[in-house]
Amino acid sequence: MITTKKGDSVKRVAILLLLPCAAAFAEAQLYFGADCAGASEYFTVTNPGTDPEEEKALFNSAQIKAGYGDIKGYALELDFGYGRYDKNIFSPKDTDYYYFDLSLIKAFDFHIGVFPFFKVGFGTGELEVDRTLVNSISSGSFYGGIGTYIPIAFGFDFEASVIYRDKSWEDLQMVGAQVESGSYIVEPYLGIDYRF
Amino acid sequence: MRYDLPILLLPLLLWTGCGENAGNRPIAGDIDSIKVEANATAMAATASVQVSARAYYTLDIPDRNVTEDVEWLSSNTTIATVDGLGVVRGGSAGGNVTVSGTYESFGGSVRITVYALKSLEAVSPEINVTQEQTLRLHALGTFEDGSKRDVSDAVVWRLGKSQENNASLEQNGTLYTGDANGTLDINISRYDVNASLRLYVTP
Repeated sequence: MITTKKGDSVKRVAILLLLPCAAAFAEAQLYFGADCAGASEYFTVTNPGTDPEEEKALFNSAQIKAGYGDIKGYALELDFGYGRYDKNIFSPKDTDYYYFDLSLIKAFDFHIGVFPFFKVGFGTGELEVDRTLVNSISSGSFYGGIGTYIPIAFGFDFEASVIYRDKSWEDLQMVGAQVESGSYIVEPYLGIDYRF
Repeated sequence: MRYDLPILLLPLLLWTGCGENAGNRPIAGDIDSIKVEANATAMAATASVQVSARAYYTLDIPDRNVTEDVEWLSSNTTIATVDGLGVVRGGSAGGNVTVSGTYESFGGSVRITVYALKSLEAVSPEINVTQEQTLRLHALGTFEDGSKRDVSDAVVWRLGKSQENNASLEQNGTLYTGDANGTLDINISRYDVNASLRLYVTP
């Protein structure tokens, strides 16, 4: 008589779940890189008791990143970036914006010498402001986009991508009232990666 | 390889510096000031005054009543106390008190004069009352400014212990004489100001 222990079943399920991941990252490599981006971000700010106001601000940013994955398959990527807006949105002196992004990337090999990909992810950021009650406000974002890796040589590849990002900003407290804000941006990224 | 990353990052850092801030006025409003006001600047110690706070904002955002959002503080709680809703109540002493409403670095204050209660008088519509009669007693207070007013709701009403089984007295001065003959001793007090009254119960 054959008996199956509960522990064995759990192991089997775990293996079945991990198999696709193992396959997806079969040729995975650690990689590092850097990108820059610049685009107009469109803000909608709703002050209490007034109609929403809209403003466009140029957002220039640069980021460094570390990822693990296959240039032809799946990759997970963590970005740390810094950026600035060319206009004040939340205070008379909006300055540095720091952010983290976590992306899931799926690239394809169509044997054309470049590797198109799409990516989705989410991020969080912190903008330094000069308001009466706070010195910084946080944001959360979801994004998705497409791009391509262009291998150069010696482990380097050039990366170009465009993502659409929807950003929610922390409500700004003003004693008995609050300001609600959101923004979106279509960011074109150019960067370079080095794969080990 | 050692110098690749800094070389790569340098143009990126320069890139982010390209977007110099225009120094424009922000589109998000902010708090500008909080003003505090009272519906009276003088009060009898047994009365109350409502203080309120109003917030004013930038960018023509309509101002708002923020009385319940600010922290209220009395400069002298012996003279007056203030609760979270901005209700100022007189204490045991008279004098001037400053009531402040603040929210972090914003706020304002008002100065209120409190007239202390100097004396009390317990008043009944009649001294000779009958058994099982209900009547309303009153407490009259005389204040520092010479004014007199009914303070029935602001004093503590007490019935002499010997009569408790036969009569009852509510804290608004409503007396039930009970079903026994005799005398009813009524005491009223507020802090250290007292007065008493004796009623005679007959069949």
